[in-house]
Amino acid sequence: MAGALLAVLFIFSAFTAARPLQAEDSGDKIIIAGAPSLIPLVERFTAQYRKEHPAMEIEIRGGGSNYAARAVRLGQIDVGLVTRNLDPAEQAEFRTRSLGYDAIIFLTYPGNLALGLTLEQLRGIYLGKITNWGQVGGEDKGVVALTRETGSALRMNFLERLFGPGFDGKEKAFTIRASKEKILRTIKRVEGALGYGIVRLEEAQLQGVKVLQVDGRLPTPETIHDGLYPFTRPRLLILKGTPKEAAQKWMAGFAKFANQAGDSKSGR
Amino acid sequence: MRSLLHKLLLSSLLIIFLPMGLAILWTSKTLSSLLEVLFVEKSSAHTEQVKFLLGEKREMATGLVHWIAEMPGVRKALEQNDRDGLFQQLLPVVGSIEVDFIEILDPEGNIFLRVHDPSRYGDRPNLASDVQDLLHGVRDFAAYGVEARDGKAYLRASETVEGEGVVGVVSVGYALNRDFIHKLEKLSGSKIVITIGDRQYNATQVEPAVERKTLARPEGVQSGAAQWHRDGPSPSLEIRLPLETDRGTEGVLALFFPTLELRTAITALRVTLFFVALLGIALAFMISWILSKRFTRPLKELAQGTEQVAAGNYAIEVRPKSQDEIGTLAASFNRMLEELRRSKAEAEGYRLELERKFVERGQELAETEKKRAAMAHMVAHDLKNPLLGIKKTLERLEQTRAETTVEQRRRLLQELLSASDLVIGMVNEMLDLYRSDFGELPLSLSPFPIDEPIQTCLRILAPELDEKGIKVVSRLGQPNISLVADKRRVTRLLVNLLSNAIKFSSENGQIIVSASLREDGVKIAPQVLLRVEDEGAGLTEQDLPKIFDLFYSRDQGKTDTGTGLGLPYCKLVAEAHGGKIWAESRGAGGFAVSVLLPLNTGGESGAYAT
Repeated sequence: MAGALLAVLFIFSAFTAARPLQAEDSGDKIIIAGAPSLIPLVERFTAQYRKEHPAMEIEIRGGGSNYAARAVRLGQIDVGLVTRNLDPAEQAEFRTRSLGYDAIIFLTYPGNLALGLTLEQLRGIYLGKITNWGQVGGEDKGVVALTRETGSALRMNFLERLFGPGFDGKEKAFTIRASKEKILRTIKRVEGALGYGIVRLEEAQLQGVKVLQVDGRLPTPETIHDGLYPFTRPRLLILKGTPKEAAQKWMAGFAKFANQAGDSKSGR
Repeated sequence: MRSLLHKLLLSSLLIIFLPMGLAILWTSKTLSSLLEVLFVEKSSAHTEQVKFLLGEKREMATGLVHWIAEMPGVRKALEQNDRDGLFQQLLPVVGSIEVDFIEILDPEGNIFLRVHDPSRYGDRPNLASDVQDLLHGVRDFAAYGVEARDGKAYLRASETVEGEGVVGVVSVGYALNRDFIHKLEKLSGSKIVITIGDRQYNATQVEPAVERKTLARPEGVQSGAAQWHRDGPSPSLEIRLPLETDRGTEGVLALFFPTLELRTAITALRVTLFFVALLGIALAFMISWILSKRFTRPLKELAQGTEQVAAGNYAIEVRPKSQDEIGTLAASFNRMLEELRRSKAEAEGYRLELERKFVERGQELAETEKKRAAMAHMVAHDLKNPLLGIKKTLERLEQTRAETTVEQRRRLLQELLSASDLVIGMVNEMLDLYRSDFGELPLSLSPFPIDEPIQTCLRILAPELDEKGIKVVSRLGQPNISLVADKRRVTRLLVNLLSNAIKFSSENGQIIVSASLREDGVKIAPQVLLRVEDEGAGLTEQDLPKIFDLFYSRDQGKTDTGTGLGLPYCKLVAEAHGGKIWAESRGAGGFAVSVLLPLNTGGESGAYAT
């Protein structure tokens, strides 16, 4: 009796163990990592993709754009998600696939009278030279500038865009490390708040947060697509060398999915 | 409109109307109040929910201030007067927890930092007593209260930040008359008005507190005390919720549940009930109409039947359809009709019978009249013959007076006498018959032997006997039979019988006259049987009883023979004596008449003596 049970267990375990082995052999496991702003989209697509390809194992990690570049270079991951411009060395090293553009938009509290800021004014605020909204066309209220945590690709992206590459100083702002929704709520509730994020225009407006123009331009899908809005950034998938067949297949599907989603929900 | 049908209809409708009206009124009232009760219950449940949410908010605010006060960074920042550091610490709270303000006061009571508006500081707000107590170190636990500030009502919790002594006070507040109230209103489906002190706050932020007289003061307000506001542009149910804080009841949260829908529902209910009532009445009317018609139809038929009968038409019949009293009435009516018809038919029968009898009697009278006329003629004729004989004899006497002998003359006189006797006898007979019409015949009874009238008879009838050569045989069963009778009438009886026999006898015939005693037991007195037989033509059996009727003539007037009074007279005489007379045909031809007359049983003539 006990022998029979053991035999059954053995056969069962052999059978279950065979599958990952087989998958690894055929290279059916891929790892995707990179910019957090792209992760939700990747997860949505992959959930669907897994149903269609049950044999394939897909791992998704965050880490940001810089991590993605490094990891792809070292071969630790198969596909990198990058939301910044690649420097020439990187461009030479990676094979890329564009997923269109998104933009960093500037958000403020609902009662703000100021309609927009110039790049110069933004620099002034984040360098602590401008401290009152009254100086930039708003009411007499102190500016509460908010930024992201150090090491965030978004913050790096923001600083690079605002002050140019190689900016080494520290912006004068309160750091907020939270989900997109929480950040939107905080900006909405704190009088005088100014913050930035990868948010679609309608989404921000729906939350009751005011979106500021930059250099007289609102981050509409059109201005972003046309590159007229200053804080536009690319969304890229990067690969190194000859990718796995599975990774290529996944990437093709995802690019299609992202473009479709981008048409309706632009700016992600 | 006065017919039974209408009365029944009206009464049944009344019978239905009253309870139905009452029932509907009652139902309407009950359902209305039931709906109201339900509405109050629902509203109370919502109010309870609001109360629960308020309690939750309180819990949260109290917990939050406690948590903030215990944060080490907060104390440190306060001690070091590092406003930015404090803000940086508290920044994540703003997006995570839905509060309307987080405020930190320095020990002097100035605003050190308002997290929701960090650029504002240094203000010195009017502090509530419990917050002052906290600052002064009188209280050392979280205080909860309602606070009105800048046209907004707040639920506020405060807690001291303890360093070396009180280094500050953290307050967290929910604005009642903003999003929170909107949420509560959405949740409970009511309109909410908050009264704090002498000011009122509602959900519209723009509108500052407005004095409203209708609302009660906070004191003495009980939770769930429902109050109807049925008038005005928006009728509502008001339920008040006291705002209980550490300082006691600080205000009232009044929930106004709009009752427009309830009103509409009640109105709809009433309308429905009204239509149900209408329908019911219509149905009741129809049913009672049909039933009343059914009940009254037989009565109507009866009435019509009675009218017909009154008009004389007995041929109709009322068909009783029902088994009830009306049916019974109809049945009796039919029986009555039957009786009427029957008695009418009977009366008709009697009438016809009477008519028939009348006609009959008329005919009889006419016949009798005819017979009487015939008799008068016969009587005259009968009297004429003997009178003519008397006249002839008297003529002969006169013509032959000289040459007739005494003997002849005596014989002639004898003839005259007997002829006169004959006439007198006939007249007497007629008188007797006439008298008998008025009653008893008066008799003069005397005893005499039977021989005497027979001999007298033979003498009287000698001429006729001689003429026809008829021989009379007299047979007496016993000698010396004596009678007690009217001698003259018995003689006339015999004359009649004999002359009848002579009349029907042929020439040289024989007539037997017999007399015998007849005794029929003890009861009847002994009688004398007289019998006259001839050998004539006789009679048929049918004619036999008729011959004693008045005016009956044996030959029906074929031969001119007699008045026809003879035999009736005989019957009259026999019956006057208590006797009997009957006729019979003799087997060998001929005819016999028998007479029973009373016998003289103990007379002086001595019938049995000899």
